[in-house]
Amino acid sequence: MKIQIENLDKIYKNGKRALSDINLEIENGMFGLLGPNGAGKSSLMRILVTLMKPTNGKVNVNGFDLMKDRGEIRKMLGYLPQDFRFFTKLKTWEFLDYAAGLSGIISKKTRSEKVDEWLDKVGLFDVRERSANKLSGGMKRRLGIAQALIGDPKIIVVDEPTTGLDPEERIRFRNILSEISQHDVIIVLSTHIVGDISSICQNLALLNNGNLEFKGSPEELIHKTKGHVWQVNTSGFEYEMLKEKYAIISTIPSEDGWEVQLVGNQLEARDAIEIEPNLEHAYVYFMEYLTNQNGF
Amino acid sequence: MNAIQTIKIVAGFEMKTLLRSWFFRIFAGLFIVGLGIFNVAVFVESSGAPWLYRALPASIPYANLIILNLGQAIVAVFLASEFLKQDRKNDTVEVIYARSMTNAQYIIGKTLGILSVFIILNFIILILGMAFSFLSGDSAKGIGEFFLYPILISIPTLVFILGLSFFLMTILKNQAITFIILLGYIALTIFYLNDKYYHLFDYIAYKVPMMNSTIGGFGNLTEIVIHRSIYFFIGIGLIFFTVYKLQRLPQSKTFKFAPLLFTFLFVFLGFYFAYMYINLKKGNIDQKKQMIALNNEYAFYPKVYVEECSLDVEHLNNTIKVQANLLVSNKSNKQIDTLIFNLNPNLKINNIGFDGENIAFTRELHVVKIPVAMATGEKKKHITFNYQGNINENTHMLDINPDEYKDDFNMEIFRARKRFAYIQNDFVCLTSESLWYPTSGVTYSTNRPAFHQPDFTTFSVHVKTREKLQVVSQGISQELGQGEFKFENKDPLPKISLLIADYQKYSVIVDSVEYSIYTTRGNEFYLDHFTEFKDTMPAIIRELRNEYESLLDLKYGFERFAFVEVPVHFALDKHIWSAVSDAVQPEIILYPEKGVIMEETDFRNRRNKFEKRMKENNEEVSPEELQCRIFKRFVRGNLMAPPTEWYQFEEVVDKYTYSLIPEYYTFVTQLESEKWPILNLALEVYLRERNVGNVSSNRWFFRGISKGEKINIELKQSNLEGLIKNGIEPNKDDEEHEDQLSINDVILAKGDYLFSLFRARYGEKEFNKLLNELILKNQHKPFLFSELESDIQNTFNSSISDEVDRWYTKTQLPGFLIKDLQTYKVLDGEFTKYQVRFKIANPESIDGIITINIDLDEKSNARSFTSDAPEQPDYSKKIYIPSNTAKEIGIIFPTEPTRMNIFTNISENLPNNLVYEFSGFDELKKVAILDDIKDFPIFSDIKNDNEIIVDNEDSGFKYIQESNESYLKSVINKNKEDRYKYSGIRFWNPPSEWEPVLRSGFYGKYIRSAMYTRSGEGDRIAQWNANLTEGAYYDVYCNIEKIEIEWDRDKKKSNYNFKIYHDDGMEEITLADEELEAGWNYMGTFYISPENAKVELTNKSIGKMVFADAIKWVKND
Repeated sequence: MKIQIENLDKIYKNGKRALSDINLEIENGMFGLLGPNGAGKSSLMRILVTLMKPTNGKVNVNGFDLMKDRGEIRKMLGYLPQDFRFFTKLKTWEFLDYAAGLSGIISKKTRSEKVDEWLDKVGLFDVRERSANKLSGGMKRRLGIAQALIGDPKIIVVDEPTTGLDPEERIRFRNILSEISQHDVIIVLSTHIVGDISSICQNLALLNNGNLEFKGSPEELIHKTKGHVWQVNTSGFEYEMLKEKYAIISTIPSEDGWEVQLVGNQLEARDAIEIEPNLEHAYVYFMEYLTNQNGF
Repeated sequence: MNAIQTIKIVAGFEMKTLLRSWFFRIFAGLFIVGLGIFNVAVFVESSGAPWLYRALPASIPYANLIILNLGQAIVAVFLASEFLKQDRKNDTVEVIYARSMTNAQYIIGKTLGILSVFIILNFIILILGMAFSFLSGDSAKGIGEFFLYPILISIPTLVFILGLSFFLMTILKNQAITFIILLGYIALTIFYLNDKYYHLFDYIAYKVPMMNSTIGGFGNLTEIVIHRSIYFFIGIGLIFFTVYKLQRLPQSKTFKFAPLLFTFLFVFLGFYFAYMYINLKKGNIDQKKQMIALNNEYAFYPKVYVEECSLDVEHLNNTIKVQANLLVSNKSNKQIDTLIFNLNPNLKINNIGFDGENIAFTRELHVVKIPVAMATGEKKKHITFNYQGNINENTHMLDINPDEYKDDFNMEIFRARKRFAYIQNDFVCLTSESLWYPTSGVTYSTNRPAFHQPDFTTFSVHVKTREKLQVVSQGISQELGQGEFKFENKDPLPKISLLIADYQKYSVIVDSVEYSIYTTRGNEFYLDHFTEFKDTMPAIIRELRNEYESLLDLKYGFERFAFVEVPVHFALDKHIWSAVSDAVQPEIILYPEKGVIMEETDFRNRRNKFEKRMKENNEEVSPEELQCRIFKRFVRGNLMAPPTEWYQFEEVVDKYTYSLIPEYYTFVTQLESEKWPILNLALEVYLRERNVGNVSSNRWFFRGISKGEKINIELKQSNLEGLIKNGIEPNKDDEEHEDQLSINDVILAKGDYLFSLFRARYGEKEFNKLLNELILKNQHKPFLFSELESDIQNTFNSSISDEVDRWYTKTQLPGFLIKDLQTYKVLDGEFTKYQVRFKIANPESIDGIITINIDLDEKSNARSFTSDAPEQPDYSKKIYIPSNTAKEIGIIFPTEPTRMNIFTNISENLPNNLVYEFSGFDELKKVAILDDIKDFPIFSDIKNDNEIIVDNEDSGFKYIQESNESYLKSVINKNKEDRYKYSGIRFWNPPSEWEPVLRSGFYGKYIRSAMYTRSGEGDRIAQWNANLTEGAYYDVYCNIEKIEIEWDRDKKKSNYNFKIYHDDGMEEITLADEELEAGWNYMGTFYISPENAKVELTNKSIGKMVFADAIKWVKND
């Protein structure tokens, strides 16, 4: 399975450029789309799931042209949008059954088995008779995940899937995706929660203002941040100065003041200790310094 | 996954969603309950539902679906717009959109989902109806209709309204606006558009004639299918437009424009069907016009007289093959160069022979021209026509303006397409109007509109049809073999008919006349109701016949009488030259399927009513006697209907529709007149009415102008000749209520009036005797007007030609003025008697007749509602009032009279029924009794010399008001000028503008009217300006008609606020109801100069409405 994106642009009717010359290749496994709100992640995903037409560029999905062969591409798709709250008057299992039916499971019996299986997997079996509209926010997300995954899609596009999930549910969700990603599938996961990506994505792309700022593995991104992450014990005036000049990643109160982790190109501070960056540091460093100074 | 599976899945889930919608559940629940009650009411005996609902298998599914369709058309709008709105609102729809399916599959699935839900509802309601129908003992059972009606009614409506809703929602993107626009559209189609352009806009099919007959099928299935296809295909087209405009990227770029293509294709198809439909309808009208134009060409052309006609008919599925052998003579006083015949244009002539030789002929539509000369008096030439084909029904009813002719009719909520002729595999129905055999001359022409003088021909018919089918025609019948019949007539007839069907015949011979009933197999519903009646039947038939013949004073002219069943669609319109419908044929009455639109055919209901009445009266009647009563009621109510008969389907059937009168007169002899051809109809209606008693009647205040009054208005504006030639201009208001006055109504009234005048002048007994003898000596042949004229000349030494001419060509009408009505007690020896006396004048130059009816005891209003018919008056007399004469009429009664009606018949008087309620005969006068009609000096006015009266009809009267009509209402009412203008009094909702009303108690010379309006703040003013000759003291009066409305819950009586202008200014006078008396009410005496003679009335009143009638100024000496 392979998705090839070439020179993809999206300009909305109001003139807003959502995507700008995106070139990307996504292969089997988990692929993370990282970026702040308004970076263009959702636009890219909506294009990938054939809900939106790009202004320019080409997308090829496993040999199928996104513009010409939507039917074939849709057959491979499972999609969970960012907003997934309002349903028509269907019960939980019925909504899943509808999704299963549309994903090509014709046999009622098979559909019923699959529905039960997925309800169980996402922990909604007990509320299967409840109206989908009356599920809690987290349950709705889980139902959304189930409907995206039912029917064994080859390409799974999930937009901010863990928003609203509690830590336990988030872990369960990650595990499900990890398990699925072992098969011949592409999972495109967009998020601004770095932790989701760091734990499960083999590759990622970083979008900002519609531009592709980085593509590669999380390790590569982290590597690029090496030497730019520090920990400083500070207090009073100095802390205020650091907040103004650097991107603060964390602030932990200590006996003398605060233990602060920050990223920057060069640190002008006393007692600063360089520390090993993680994906979160890399993401912040990347967004705050490199992209604003025209990248690497 | 294939397309159908995808559609099925989408539809399935849409259905599930809709079935959970409370809006739909409530709607469905209400309709299931409502229609359940309706069905129960139809089958429950005590509900009094018309027999029509139970008699025909089509009734229940048709009625249920028509009612349901009105509701579902509205609910579907909401549900359809809701689905697009939901799709927009629900973010979850994106996960559906990302699935592999085409936009068409999605929208079609959704549409089918909605449709399926409604189909389920239709199904439930039909099952309900079917269950009731099968449970009921006396209902017709059918299965096919339960499947046909949903296809014809519900599906096209739903597809169209769904498509339209989707379309508007797609374009407007706002559910509320879409909903409002569509509700407006639905209201417009139901209340305004559905009657326009042959019901083209009636997408709900509320007025599309869809009644189905078990004998003849749908009236015109082609028209129905075309009409329904219009909406079905436009609906599909709009659904495809929604597919095209769906906010989802299409599945395939290649087929992106396919939905748009389908939109155009289906919408075009819909419009093409609309074009076809209009063309079909207009084509019929155009063809009728062509036929009339063709008839006009030959209207005055001399024609041969067909003396004998022998018809050899072969019934071949949907066609007939005929050889017609005619024996013709030239009885005209002119040489004939070309023989003109009529034959239905769909009957293709193979050859025509003249005296054994084939001869060339030409043909234009129905007119066949044979270039053969016949000298005056030349006799008995043989002409043979060989022809084959079916019937073009446009030959029928040419005498009703094709542009105004309605080709369908209402029966309760049902609508049926009129049919005139049938040639089907298992049913044939042909009357002379179908031109199924050659007739000489031409049919209706506008150049000679009332001319209809058929030849009295001796017919014989030989028919071959399918085995087991029964043939009915006039004459002595002989069954030659299976499906082969022969009919021989010994006497000439003006026309002949042919019926073929799987008839069951039941007959009885009474006094040498064979009485038969031919009923299609399975429709013999009456058998169960007359089980005990067989032995008594001959006596009852004899009794009924004697009763009718003594009423007519004529004898039945044939040896057979058959009652033959035809489909309910058979048209019952009346020709300009006939009092009865085409259902009355010589020797035969064509009765509608199971008698559904006749009176008293619900024998079960009638039996129950009789039994109830018998129980109330402690009367014991044997089942046989009961059945006799039911039978008599049926015969009297339909074939020999008294004027008191009420008709359930009065729009279609009246007392003349099935009247037997032609069997006694028109089919036996006819009065022919070149100059006044309509005299024959005038005589026919006179013969029918001459011995019929009068009816006493109230004038219901809520009823507008009556038919008789409309006739008077028409005759005041145009003479009979002009009306016959130009027809009656349709009145928009009547058109809406399908209560249009026909030229036939005018001729019947005016015809009866003419001969009634002769009777009054020459004496009832003597004049009737003369007519009876004339008819008797001209049996089975026509007679000329000159013969009638000569008989009258010889018997009464008087000529009627000039009078007939005036009757035909002049617009003058008699007019009656009534004054000095007195009621008091007198002593007749030792007995107290009740005297009613009044003076009546006819100051016009035309003789007139009035009918006085007097009731002696109080007849309760309630009785009129519960009894079968209105009451006969206790006293009734027709009085001849010659022109420019006056009479004083005195009548003496042994008991106290309560009410007098004076019918002014054809006259200038409005209302034409003057009602005088007698409040008491308190005074005992010691004067001579007057029980006579005395001559009195002529008077031409009802006011005294010192009185100046300004009536609302006078030029001195005007009213002032600001129009409150909304713009929309004014647009709709723009072309709705009511020519008859006088409305009924709507006490529950009086008009917000001044409207004219008629009532006996209002003042008027001939027109007793007033203006009335809703009470208000005094913004509407009525003003009377008198033309006084000099300044003087005047007593001022107002005329008030006190109207008691018993049912009015708001009992506040109106007071009247007058402003009387005089030389010292203006006096405001308020007259409270309790101060007012019916008639003239004194308001004061004032010095008034001519320039100040004005009285005003405002609409300020504590009551609901005010009436502005007349003001009187009486000069003081």
